Amino acid sequence: MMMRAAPARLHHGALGLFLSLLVLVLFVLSLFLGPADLGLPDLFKAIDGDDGILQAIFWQIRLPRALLAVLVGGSLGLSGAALQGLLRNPLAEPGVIGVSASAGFGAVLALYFSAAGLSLSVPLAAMTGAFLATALLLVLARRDASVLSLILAGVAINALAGALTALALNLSPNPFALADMVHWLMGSFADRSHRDVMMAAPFIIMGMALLLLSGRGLRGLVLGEETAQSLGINPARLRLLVTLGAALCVGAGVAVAGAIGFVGLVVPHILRPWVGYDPARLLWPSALGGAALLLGADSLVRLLPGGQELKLGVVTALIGAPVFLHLIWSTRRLMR
Amino acid sequence: MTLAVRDISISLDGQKIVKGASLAVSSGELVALIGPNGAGKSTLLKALAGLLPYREGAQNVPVSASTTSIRKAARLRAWLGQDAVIHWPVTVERLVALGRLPHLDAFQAAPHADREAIHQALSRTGCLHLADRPATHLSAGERARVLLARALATGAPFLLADEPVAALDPAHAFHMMDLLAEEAKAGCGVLVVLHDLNLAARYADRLVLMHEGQIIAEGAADHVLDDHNLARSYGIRVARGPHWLVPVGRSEP
Repeated sequence: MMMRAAPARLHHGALGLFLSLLVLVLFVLSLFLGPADLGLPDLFKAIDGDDGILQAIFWQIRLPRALLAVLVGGSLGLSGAALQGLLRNPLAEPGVIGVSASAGFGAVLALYFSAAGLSLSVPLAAMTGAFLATALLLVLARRDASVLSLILAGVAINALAGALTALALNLSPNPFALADMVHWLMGSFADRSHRDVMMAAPFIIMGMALLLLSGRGLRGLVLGEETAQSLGINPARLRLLVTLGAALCVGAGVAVAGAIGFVGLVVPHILRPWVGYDPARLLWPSALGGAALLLGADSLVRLLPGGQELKLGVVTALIGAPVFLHLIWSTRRLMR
Repeated sequence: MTLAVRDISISLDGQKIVKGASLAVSSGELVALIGPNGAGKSTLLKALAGLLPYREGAQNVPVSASTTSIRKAARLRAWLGQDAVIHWPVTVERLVALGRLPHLDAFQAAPHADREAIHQALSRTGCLHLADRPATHLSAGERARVLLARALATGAPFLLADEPVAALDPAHAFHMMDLLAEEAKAGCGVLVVLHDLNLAARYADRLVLMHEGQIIAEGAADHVLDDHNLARSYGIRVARGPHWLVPVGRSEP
């Protein structure tokens, strides 16, 4: 495993407090960022509610965007941490192993067949795609849980989901719908409404609750599945718990924000030494860290100069892919 | 107290591994389960640990892995698997604390009783000085003792260990067997799979010899390790001294 020296172990809760404060600060900060230059007095005016435009900007544009960053970022960070604990592999991440791409395919399929645009069928289809991909991966990883076979399975699932998505787009009768889907798949929180938040939030919260229940089991898995079982953990129940939780989180997130990769890879990787590599204690900090990362990254894309706002998924991929390469390099000894 | 299975059969991937074996371990005794590779020792041990479903008796009554609550079963017997992998570089103390999992509720942090049990397990195995080291960076001897400490931390009345001395040099192997014997003396029922026949003869109160999924001899070392049994199960000839035996070749078929 990673050979870096572990930093001094923080007092239980200090890390959580720090990350919570970070999320809070970034959340407030993100409310002030956007094309319209607004300051703190404007926020109070918006809350007081005597200026219609200010109100609309804060409540209809900025707040949903920040809320989605928290929900999607938190759920992606948590999904990564839980999947890595389940598969005992630091490279297991929804984007890397094809779960996000499969959710994207599910969403595209639902969009393709639904005339009404975004409806409840989109997150449901995305969650189904995510669940099937995770289940398939677990079946493949059970035979041989090595890093290499997991990554290869991920490559295959990614390729399959990508091919099916391309097929759906290829057969799309409407070129405008096509451009929309491609843009949306890149991942962004721009121009999202309360409707998106309300649609995704219940599923994401449910998924996160399931994943947060997995801590005890993931801790047992440090010594492998059989020892975990001998310690009173039910491995089948644990697999189902994490698979369902991750599918709910990733599916609902992808349905409203598109594919935002590498959050679940980068965040647990950074935080793991700070919790003594304990897969259970990693869960909450990863959720907070994911929320902070996406709030920060989403603020960054709004701060960058230039006419065209960068897609968030593009930014996270630019940050995440090098980390992924670094992780492959440092875990190469595990590859057989 | 006795942990026992009677006339059980186990099939894995359609192959019959254990064929009607009966085995019992009582509190305070150290039982060595011996036999050649592929005899079914590990599989039988896993069945006793509640990790594998099996069939029982002449009627082949299926017994699932968890007839009672899986957590309750985990408190009854600690299982120390063969070459267990440690997947994350957690500290030795955290690793040993895993032994307390059967006692914890999902939302509960380790209370005082757990701390005491963890400390006890570390001190009895001579691992206190390792407590803050990453569990992935240990020598084979340290690692074996730490994994034993993890099993002891459960405080279960039965301990099932699968080849705990496989990777150890003679001195470390003696140390490990001393620790297991101490546990038995303290009242734990210890069942240990061994390949070293001398260690088995020296430490075990009772030997159980397995061959092709069946138990073919059971009892004191003199009786179990006679020429006939060794030729039949291991297919070896041995030279003997007062407290030792050395394989000198394969027996004629």
